[in-house]
This record gives sequence, C-alpha cells and structure tokens, in this order.
Amino acid sequence: MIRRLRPKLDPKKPFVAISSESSLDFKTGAQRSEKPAFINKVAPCRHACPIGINIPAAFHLASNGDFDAALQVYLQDNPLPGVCGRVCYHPCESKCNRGEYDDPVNIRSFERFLADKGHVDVTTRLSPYTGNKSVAVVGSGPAGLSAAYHLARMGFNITLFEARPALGGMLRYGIPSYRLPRSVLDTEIDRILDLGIEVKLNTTIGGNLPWSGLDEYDAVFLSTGLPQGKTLFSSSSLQDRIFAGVDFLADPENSPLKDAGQKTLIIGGGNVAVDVARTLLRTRRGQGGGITLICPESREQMPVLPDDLAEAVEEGLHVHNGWVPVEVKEDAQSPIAVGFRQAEVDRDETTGQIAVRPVGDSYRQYEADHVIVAVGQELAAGVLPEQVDISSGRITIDSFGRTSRAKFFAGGDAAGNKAFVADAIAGGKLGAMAIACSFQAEDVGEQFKACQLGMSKTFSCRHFMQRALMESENLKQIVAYDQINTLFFPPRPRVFPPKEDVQTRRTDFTEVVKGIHPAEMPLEIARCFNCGTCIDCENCMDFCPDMSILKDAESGIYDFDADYCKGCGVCSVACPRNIINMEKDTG
Amino acid sequence: MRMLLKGNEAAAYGARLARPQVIAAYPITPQSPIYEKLSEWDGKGTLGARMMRVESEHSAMAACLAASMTGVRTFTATASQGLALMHEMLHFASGMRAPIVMVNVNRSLAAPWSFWSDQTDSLSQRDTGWLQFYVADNQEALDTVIQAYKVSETVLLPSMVVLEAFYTSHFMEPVEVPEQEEVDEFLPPFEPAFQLDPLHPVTLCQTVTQAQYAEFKLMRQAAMEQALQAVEAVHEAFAGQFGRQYSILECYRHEDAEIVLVTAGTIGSTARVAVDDLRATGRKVGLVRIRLFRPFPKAALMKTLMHARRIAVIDRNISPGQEGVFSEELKSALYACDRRIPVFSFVLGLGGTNVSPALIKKAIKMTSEMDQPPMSPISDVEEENAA
Repeated sequence: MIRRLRPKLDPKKPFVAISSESSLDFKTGAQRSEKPAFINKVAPCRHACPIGINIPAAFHLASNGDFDAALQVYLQDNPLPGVCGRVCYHPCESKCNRGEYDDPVNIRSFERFLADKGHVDVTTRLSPYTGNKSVAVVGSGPAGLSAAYHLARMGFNITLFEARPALGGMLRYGIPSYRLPRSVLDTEIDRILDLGIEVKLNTTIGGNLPWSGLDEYDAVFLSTGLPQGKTLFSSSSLQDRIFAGVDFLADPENSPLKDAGQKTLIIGGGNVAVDVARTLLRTRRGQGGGITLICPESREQMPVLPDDLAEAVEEGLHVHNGWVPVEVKEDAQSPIAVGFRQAEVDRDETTGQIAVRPVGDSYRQYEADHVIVAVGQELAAGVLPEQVDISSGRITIDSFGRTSRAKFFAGGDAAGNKAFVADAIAGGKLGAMAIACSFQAEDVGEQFKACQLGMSKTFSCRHFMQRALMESENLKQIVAYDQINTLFFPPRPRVFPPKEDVQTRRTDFTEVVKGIHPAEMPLEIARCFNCGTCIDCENCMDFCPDMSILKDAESGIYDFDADYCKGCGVCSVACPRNIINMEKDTG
Repeated sequence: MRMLLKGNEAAAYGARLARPQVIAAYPITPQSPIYEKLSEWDGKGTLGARMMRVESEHSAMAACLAASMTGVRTFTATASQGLALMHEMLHFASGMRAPIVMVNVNRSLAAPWSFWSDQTDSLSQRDTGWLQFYVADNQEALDTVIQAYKVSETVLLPSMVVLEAFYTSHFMEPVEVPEQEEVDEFLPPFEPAFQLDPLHPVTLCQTVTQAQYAEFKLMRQAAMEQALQAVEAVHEAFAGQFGRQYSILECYRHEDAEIVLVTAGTIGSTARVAVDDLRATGRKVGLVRIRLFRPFPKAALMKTLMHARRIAVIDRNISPGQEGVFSEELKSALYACDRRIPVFSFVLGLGGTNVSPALIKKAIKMTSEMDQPPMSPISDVEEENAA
C-alpha cells in the first residue's frame, strides 16, 4: 500500500492513506465503558390518561397510514374510543410534551378520527385465558361496558344487566346527542357485544330480578352509576315544577319544558347543568330568552369542560355566577321564586371538594315557571345488595375495585370514581383485572404493580394479558420534555376541528364539534413526538460513527455491535424520542 | 471583457470561471463579498456549482474535503478568525491530497478586534501543507485563482490565494475577465487521481503505522517541491493562453541593485513607486515581490539576490519572539550562499496601517545607513518630509 518517496508523483499509485482492507480488525468495542439499551418507555400523555392508552404507539401506526392498527392499540385498553374522542376531558393533552414546545397534540380529535375511520374485529384478539367462569355486570354505562368488554376479551362469560330499555347508561341517557351522536354510541356498543356478551335489558336487580338471581355467577361487577339527581328543596307542593337535571336529559323531547314562552331556571355549574340549558335551547328551537343558568362558582371555577361552556355561551345562554340558592317561595298559583345570596366557592385542590361560602348582604330573587336542579347525583335508594358497604354514599371499594362483599366488585360513578367517562372506563378495566385475578387466585396487587404505568392508577392491558411482553417496555419510566430531541421537530401549529355554525346548532341536535378533515389529520398526526416509542426512524443507525447499531431484518429489533460500539452515546442523543438509554457496561 | 471590479469580485469571477462543482463557505469580513457574489450567481442560476450553507469555516473545509474526495472541483473563501477555525481541517486537506482552492483575505487576528490587512492569519498556516500565493492587485487575484487549480490538480495539494483586507478586497480596479471558453481550454475538467466510489468502498485516512505515517509526510514534501516546477509551468501556459506574464518572484529593476527590497502582497506594488523615486536620484535600488510563499522559492531567491549588497525585507506580519515571517524565511534561504548578505528586517503596516512610498524610502535609507542588521525587527520607521 505504501510507496517509497519518489521524485515524481505518480497518481496511479496511492499517495494518501487509503485502504480497501476491512477495518474490522480494529475492535473499538474494547474502549466501551457504557452501552446503549433500546427500550420503549411511557409517554406522559399515556401516563395521564385514566385508561392508560398507548397513544404514541397509535400515532406511530397512523403516521404510516395504518389506521386499523392504530385503532387496535386504542381498543387494547379503551372499548369506547369514539365516545372518548368526543367527550373526554383529555388530561393527556395537558401533559403532552409538545405543549412545552408549541401546542399540545390534538389527541382527542385523533382518537375520534381513528374510531370513525378504523375497522377492528376485536373478537380475533382474545387472550389465552380460558373461560368457564361467568360474571354478571350490573349497569351498562361506561364502567359496565368497559368491565364487560375486558372480561369478555379475557375469555369469561359475561351477562350485562341494564334496567333501562337500551344500553349505554349516562352515555345514552345523560350526554346529549349534539355532543355524542347515538349512531357512534351504537356502533361502539355493537363492537363490544360482538364479543358474545349476553344482554338483559329492562332488568332491575333488586327490582324485577332479586339479587339472589345472580348467585349462579362467579363474580358480580356493580356499575349502577348515580342515577338520582340531588335535590335542593324538600317542598312537596312544587314537585311538578322542580326537576332533576339528569331526569330531564334522559328524555328531553317528551319533557313539559319545551314551550319557549316559559321561564326556566337551571341551578348548577357542571356539565349536566350546561347540557340541560343547551338541550332546552334546542328543544325550544333556538328560543333561549327564558333560560337562565345560575351557580355559586365563578366562570373559571365551573366544573363544566371549558370548551362546552364556551360553546354554550356562543349559543347565547345566560350564565350568572357567584349566587347560591337560600330559599324558595312556595305558592302554587304564582311562578316559583328562588332567593339567592352572593357566594364564593372554595375548592380543595387535592380532594376536589367544594365549599360554598355566602359573602356580603346581596340578595337576589329569580322567578321562573320551572326550576331544574343539577347539583350532583347520588346512588339510587335501595337498589344495591346487602353486605355491600355504601355508608359513605358510594360503594366502598379498595384500590382494585373490590367491595366489602366477596365476589362483588364495583366501578364507575357508583363506586366513587371521578365523574368522567374516561375514569368510569378505567374503573371497569381495573375491576376486570381484579376479577380475573380472583379467578386465577393471583394477587391483584402484584399483577397491577407489574403492569402499572409509572405511579398512575392505571395499567397496560396488553402487558396484563401477555405477561411475556413485560421485558420489552419500561412501564415505569415516563419520558420528560427535556429527554426529547426537539431539533428533529419543526414547529407546527395545532390543528383544530371545525364546529357547526352557531345558528344551526341552536335549533337542532346536530353534532357541534366536527372531526378534523381527513386531509388535515396527517398534519396533526405528524406533530406527535411519539415520546418513548421507537418508530424506526433509524436516526441511531445514521448517526452512529461506528456503524454499530444492528437491526434484525426479521424482527426489527435493535441491538448494538459489541465488537465495535465505543459507547459514545451519540445514538442516545440522536434518538428524538428517548428510546436509547446509556447504561454502565462492566462486561 | 474589461470590467471595473473589486478584488473580492475578481476572485469570485476567477472561481466561477474555474467551474468548481461544490462551494462551501461561511461569511466573514472582509471576505463576505466573495460569498455574496457567488450566492448572487447561485440565485440567478448562473453559478454552475452547488453552494453548501455550512455552520462554520471548520465545516466549510470539511465539506470541501469530502466533496473533493468524491472527485469534484471545490472552492471556498475565508479570512482571519475563519481561517484560524479551519486550522485542523487544513492539515486534513493537504494530508488527504485534496486539490481544494481557497481565497484567504488577509485580516488581522484578534485580540484586540480589528478588520484591517495583516498577513499573520495566513502565515500562521504555514505548516499545514497548503500552497500559498500572495497577490498584489485585482487582476492578479482573478488570474491566480485559475492558475491555482491547475497547479493544485497537478501536484494534488490544496492552494490558498491570499488577498489583503480592503487594499485588494474592496478597492476597484479595471480587470480583464477572460472568456469562459479560454479558461476551459486552459483548465480542463478535473480528472481526479482517485475518487470515492460507493461500489468500491475504501477507508480513507485510516490509522497507519509510524513508518507509514512518515512515508506519507515525505511524499507530501516531495509534492511540495514538485509544485515549484508546476507553478512555473502553469505561469508559462497561462501567458500562452491569456498573454499575462506571472512569475514566482516579481523582480523590478533589481539586476544592478545594491539594495534590494523584498516584500509580498500590496506593499510590493507601492514599493515600485519608491524604487522609481530612488532610481531617479541615482540610487541603485531594486525590488523583489515574493508571489509564492509555499513552497518557498529558495533557489529562485538565492539566484535573484546573489549580487545584492544589502537586503531590506518589509513584513506586514510578525511572528512574536522572532520577526517578520518573510524575512525569517528569506534568511534561511540565503544560508546556502557563499557570501553573507546582510538582511534588514522591517515590520511595517501591521493592522493595515499605511505603508507609503515615503515610508518605504525611509526604510531603504535606514538599510543603507546602519552598520549591520539589529537583532530585533525594525518597526520605528517614520516618513521624512523630503528625501
């Protein structure tokens, strides 16, 4: 290779250090004191999701155009993505790492897009659990549907009992169709029933079927919800003019309140109160003059989802904040007169409990033909079995949904889960795990801990069902913003979904929020950092100075070449989404 | 075509006429107008080269080197701090025998901060294995860029064509811009001695043994020595093609001179005026302007200066703790002479201060009057009102 010094340069002979020999003799791996470890981690969105959906994995699959596979990821944990994609309070977005960069990814619109677009046959993905165990699920709201779905997927025989003539609980009888079209709900319920769940409608346990009728089941999951609206005024003479918000929402079209000439006072500041007002506006075909909503909370404190409140205000509803009802004048011949005092609300940030405190001497009286009270709900009296402790006003459960009575489990609003659809679904999912563990005589605490996501209250269903996966993902490590290499992500504005025109939606039940247009959805999908989820970008391979990142052609699994990896850590830094950890290499 | 051009523009014209395929550069005063002119042509689609936007001069040289290894002709330009930042890659470029051509516009190095002419930036790259041409005017800037490609591609070493801040870079002069066809005839497309080829992978610049390393360095030295003849051959071919004569040493009225002034760069053109003035008063004074600093033309200098009684060297640079670099190098070259010729070392014009004909005349006067050269460089020279 090397020439002797010659007086005249001969360019045909080598005169620079050039070698066609392999440099593989230099085993640079000997210099290594650290080694890369490839492992997927938990994204903060997933950690914040009560249901623990593997959101970044779904975004990755969708970015390749595989919407069915992306929806399948959602369905591993959440049987109701079309519902959550519309009504969820999206705590995922509040924790989205992209929020620290420009704007959080529009995760809720993505979920809705997948649910509307993707097709998945859930029955083809059953777990290896063998059945011969039966579970009665009492109540078919989101908690009951979730428990039934997960237990059926685990291979158990499920019977779903529902007191009303149709499944869905508050999804059907509480959330108005302008927020959740019934066709979407029906499609999702049908998909759950495809798992072979037996349904018994119009069946009230403890009513037309005694509790002893459930003795034949190996376990019972109670998800009876909080169907009873709390009352404010005990007067019996006003019974026909004071309504509970939940009762009104269950059947608004047949309500006596449709006459636009009537004055209706709505007391309450949560989603039920706002939905009552908006529903009333629609049944009165846009005539909102007689509708007044009043609550003790300030505008910012109202427990309604901010978007819903903003839409209600857009639709022209009158909201009066900072007033607490103190008396009602009983006179059957005159309009109802409700007296209010000015009030402030203190909220305990840890428990979420509120305390209303009257301030000053201001007094105000509202007169109305009807009053609708929407200040919370409670358990229906006398419909729960004996030995199930309800002394706190809710079914008492432990951390895994077990009640005080053997074989009885509970979740959802009735069991004191947070009063959101996602939390009810999470309660059903957790109950399903506890029930499955009880059948296998497994310690649910240990099982939960093994597939718990970080320190959250939820877990990965996929890992619970396929325990062999446990090593392939670090479920305890949450990817922080500063672990994302944002150089690989150009700033892009968040895509917002369009909304129905205000004038149109005041007069009918058209869905208010539309889906993001399919042509725009890829822009939003591309904004996801996919925190902690390897998307095969192969940056590690491109940046490795020693070409020492190995990728198995068949499995796609990454490893490093121990002979040549110097342990420089470039791969770890070049990874945009924090897959590669550098670990001490003592070998 | 005759055009009124600044030195930077003339250098850019020279670069474009040489048809480089890759240009990677980073702006820095006073070189930026070269980059700007090339970018302007790139924007109009008349450049004919791929412009690479890089984040530093170090990267600019790395990019040129990598491009050169693929067998394409490359160009870059820099100055001062930029050249200092490139330093590591300059060694790589010559070690890899890449015939890159770079324009450096001499500018003072910090600290303190300054923008004016000073040769220390390029002279501190003396040992990086680059050819160095020092030019005195805008026409020479254009012509030398074209010549440098031909020399570099013959001996496979990179070339630096050195202009001076503002004196050449920003002053306008009439410049004869050759036709593209003429340049194409003089400088045919680059035929690389080797090039990277993905179909035949090789390792370049691999680790070598101590003995192999020594061999490569000696081969580079041989190429440097060969470059002296290559430059002369290119000067001859250039004169044949374009009619403009260049030589390694520009000699002016030196044959019978008793005192010969030796310098480089723009001081060389000013010195012609001083020499003419002194000749008019009967003084036997001549001038030698060194155009090629690396390889250093030792034999040519010895032959040219053999009969001088005294030599005065004016350096617009200083090697701290020694003296001006041209003076030092010249003394070394004259070591082989049978007769010792006293060399008077002047360090003038640092930081771009004006070296006027009067100042040059004073330096020559001092050279004739002093008993012998002092140990330290002479810098306390002031103009006299009347010679």
